[in-house]
Amino acid sequence: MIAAIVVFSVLAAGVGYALGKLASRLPADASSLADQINQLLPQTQCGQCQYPGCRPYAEAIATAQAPINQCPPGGEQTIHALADLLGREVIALDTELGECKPAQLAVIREDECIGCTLCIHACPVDAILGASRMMHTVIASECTGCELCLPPCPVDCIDLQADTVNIQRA
Amino acid sequence: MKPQHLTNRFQGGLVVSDPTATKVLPVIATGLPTTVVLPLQTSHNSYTPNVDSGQAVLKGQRLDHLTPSGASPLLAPTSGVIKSIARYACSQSPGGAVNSIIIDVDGEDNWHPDAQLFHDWHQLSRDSQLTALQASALIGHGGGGFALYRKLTSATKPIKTLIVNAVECEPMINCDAALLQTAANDIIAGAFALASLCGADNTVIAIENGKQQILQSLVESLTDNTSNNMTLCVVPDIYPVGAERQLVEVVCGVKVVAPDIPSRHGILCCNAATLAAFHSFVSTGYPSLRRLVTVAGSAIQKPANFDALIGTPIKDLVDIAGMHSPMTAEHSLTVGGSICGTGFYDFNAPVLANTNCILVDKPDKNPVTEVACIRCARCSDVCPAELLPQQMHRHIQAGKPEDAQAFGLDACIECGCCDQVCPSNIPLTASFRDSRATLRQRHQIEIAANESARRYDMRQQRLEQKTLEKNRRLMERKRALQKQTASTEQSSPQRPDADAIKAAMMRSRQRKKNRPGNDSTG
Repeated sequence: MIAAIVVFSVLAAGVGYALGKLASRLPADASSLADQINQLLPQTQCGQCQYPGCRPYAEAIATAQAPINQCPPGGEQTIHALADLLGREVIALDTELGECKPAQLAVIREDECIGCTLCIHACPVDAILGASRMMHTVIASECTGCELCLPPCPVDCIDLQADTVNIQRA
Repeated sequence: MKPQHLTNRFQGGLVVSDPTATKVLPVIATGLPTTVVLPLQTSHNSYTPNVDSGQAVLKGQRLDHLTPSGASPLLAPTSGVIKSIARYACSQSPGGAVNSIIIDVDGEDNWHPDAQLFHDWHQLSRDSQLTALQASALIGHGGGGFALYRKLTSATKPIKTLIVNAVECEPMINCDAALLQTAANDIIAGAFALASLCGADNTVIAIENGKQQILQSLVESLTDNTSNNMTLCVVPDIYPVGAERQLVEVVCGVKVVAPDIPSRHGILCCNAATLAAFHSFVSTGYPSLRRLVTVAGSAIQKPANFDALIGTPIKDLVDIAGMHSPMTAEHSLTVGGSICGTGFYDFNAPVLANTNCILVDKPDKNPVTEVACIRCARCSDVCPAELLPQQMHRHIQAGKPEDAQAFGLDACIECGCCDQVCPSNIPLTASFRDSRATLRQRHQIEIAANESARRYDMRQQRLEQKTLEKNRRLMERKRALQKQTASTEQSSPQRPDADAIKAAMMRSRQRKKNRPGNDSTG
């Protein structure tokens, strides 16, 4: 009887100690949570969430620094998916940041382009091709329609069109 | 040869009455249309065009860029000038329109110099035969629309049995029956050629019970081409016995459950019309660019099978067949048979390689109304794929098609049996088809998002590396500069007047310090 109590007490203490050590050695996996959140974001990389891309926003959500309603391109669908994953309540999209629009594509009016490369530096997914003082063009299949190339263009030669080339992004 | 009557059955299915089963519609040859339309996105193929509007193309010319191996090319069905590449009606797209190449036909029908892929099929090695087959863009004429090349190369086991699917079990479709009656020899020759290509030991021609007239002509043709390893099987007339997995189960007794495919069990199942097209390709070296299409329905004056060029607008065929009254928006258009055919909206949609039947029906006077599911489970009794349509329907109604997927949505063969028996008139097949399209689209969006994320991460990495590189170079230069100054200080000899300069500087500092009012006025 006493032997059993001693054996189990020692076992319990040992296992508890080991688990405690492990827990402190391997902290709660914020990076993998951020990965999961990142998977649910639309990857437009538009920065409308006030973070410089989808991954930084995912990391901010994972560390509870940002609410889940800051992604306009994802819209309601993304909010629902995030709420499901994180067990949080569904909240309405923060429309001050933008609205959920149908998929769009940036198109450069090529004869007006002066080749300043500013849009190339602005594109978060390297979807604009060109060189200094050469015409630039958007690789339609890679464009996410994030609109980040519009403000830097000094001659306003970039238009947004409804995305008919790619499969319709939600 | 004596036909073999099979009595095997498969789970589910329906006995449907087909008023047209015994009648074979006449075959009418059609000339060249004035326009042909080639969709760039069909159910199993998507193409990137390598041509532009205004460009002249020749018959058999390749119109798309080379894609990863296994994909089937897009060939011009006749010569002409490309009018435009734009969104155009398509019967296979749920949205009704896809990007298409529209060709103004010049009427010359000139072959492209490279269109003939070989002179003698039998002199080619097996590998070059397969390459030629891929280049010929032969897409199955059955219904699935798979390229024959892909079907052959997807086999993981050597093919033992080739089944010639001459079962046309769905009411109204008549093109295979007409082909069997007029060109049975071509089908048999195609079957022999394909059997030797895939190495099949025995070939089974399967035909449905009740088509005596066609059976007769087949038996006669087979007696001319006597061969020990070709058998003729008559399968029971239960819809959908003509579906690939069901036919394999009846003929070979092998149950193939989706997503498994028969070719992984050493069985290749090919539509009879595909084999006739294969024969025409093998005997001439030119790709086969025509097919038979049934045009029928209650609004059609003279139903017939049209020998049409792939890409012909459906409207052209319907115009030849004639309609009782002018076309209105109320007429229902269906591509495929009367049970599993899908509705489409635009008359201008083209005939594709797997368009077997076009039905134009008069406006429905007593449209049925859909009511709630009463969970009678009749749909699951008749489902040949052994699914639970009522459960899938429930999840789809709840807006969760991914849950329906867990109930085997992907295994649905869209045969339409459940619609036929549903007492609540629920369009189950249509909702399954739509949900699958939604899921497919979601999957594609996911792929695109992953690609964007990858490009974003790569860019981030590149920028980081650039900054690191810049910092490293700055540090290096700083260190080099420091080294240089240190070494110049060390190596350069002292100026001879260095002490004098030092003394002068000291004096000047002293003077500044002693100057009165330095602090206040300074």
